Amino acid sequence: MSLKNKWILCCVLIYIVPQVCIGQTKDSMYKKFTYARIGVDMAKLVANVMQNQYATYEFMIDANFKKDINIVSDFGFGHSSVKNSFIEYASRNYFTTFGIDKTFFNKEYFGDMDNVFVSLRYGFAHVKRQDATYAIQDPIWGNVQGVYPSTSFNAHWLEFGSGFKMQVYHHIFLGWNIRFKTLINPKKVQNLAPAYISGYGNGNKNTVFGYNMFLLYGFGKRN
Amino acid sequence: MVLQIKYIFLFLFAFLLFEMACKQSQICLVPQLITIQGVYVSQDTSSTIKDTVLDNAIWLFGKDSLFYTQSRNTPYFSIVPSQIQDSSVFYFYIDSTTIQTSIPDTITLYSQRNLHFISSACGFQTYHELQAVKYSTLTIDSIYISDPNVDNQINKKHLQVVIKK
Repeated sequence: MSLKNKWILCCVLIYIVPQVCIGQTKDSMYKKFTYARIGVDMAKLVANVMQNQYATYEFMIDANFKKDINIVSDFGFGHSSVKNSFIEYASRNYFTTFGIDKTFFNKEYFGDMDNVFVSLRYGFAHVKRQDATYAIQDPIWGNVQGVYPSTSFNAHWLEFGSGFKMQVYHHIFLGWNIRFKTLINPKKVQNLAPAYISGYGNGNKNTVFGYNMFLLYGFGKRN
Repeated sequence: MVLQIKYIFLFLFAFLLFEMACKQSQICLVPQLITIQGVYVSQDTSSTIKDTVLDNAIWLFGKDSLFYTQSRNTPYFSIVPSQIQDSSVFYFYIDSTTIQTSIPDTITLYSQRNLHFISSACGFQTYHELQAVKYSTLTIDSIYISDPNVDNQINKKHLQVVIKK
């Protein structure tokens, strides 16, 4: 991990740790982890049908931690393939992220779970790439063809995002968010990057924007 | 509930916008071939080396030497090294109008080839690390490797070809 990335990680921890710890004294009466939501990213399910380059299945779970902070984790898996006249390869990965959603507005009524939030997350993916067959078209000296060996590697990234969640029916919620993601170890990822890393996005880019549209089911006791 | 339905439509609209914006391009805009950049130089009487403009120089290379690059009124040239072997042979005529009657200088460049991934749209290209150069000295005085790393940076000058006065 480069010095710059270590600094970014330190800054993130400096932000998160007080958010999580300070509340333990201030909100000591607040009951933590009483209500949780689990959901699936509907947008990705639609996107899977709309193109044939990748498929990704993304899920989310969150739980109340403080009045204005939810502990959140995303997880999922996917695969992608690249096939053109220059290169052909496939990859698979699973991923997880964890972090916090900090909400903006006060609750309007008891058990109100609708809100707008900003989020901060750390993401991790384990990627397996199969052998890649490549062709370099060279009319001058002659075309080159070969096989680039398979490999496995881990991708780490940070996410900063914003969005909102709203209750649409009893314990059913819709949540929409956009996220800015930046790889912590881009050099590891970008040598024959997967076309799509589930949880992250386009593996060819150091920074990406992503979006999710979760359909969530909530359970537990509301505060 | 009406408000909530509006939100749902907003969700879907935003999703479609993002989906359109995030569609990945599979068009390759980066050339797969890497060129060696060079400059012609000559020594004046005070042994100072300076760029030398050649009016009509030509390099022949490639399979059966069928490809060429011509330097017209410029001190710079670019040639394409082989991606299938570690040595590339080039034929250099200082004046392209005398190809039929003159003998060219023969230059052999030895390099270590390294595969470099461009993107999933473009695949690979071959970088070269120049190891050595051999040459005849009919019109060429000497050749120096000024930068051995041949990659996709176009502003580098890898070779200095010293022309006989």
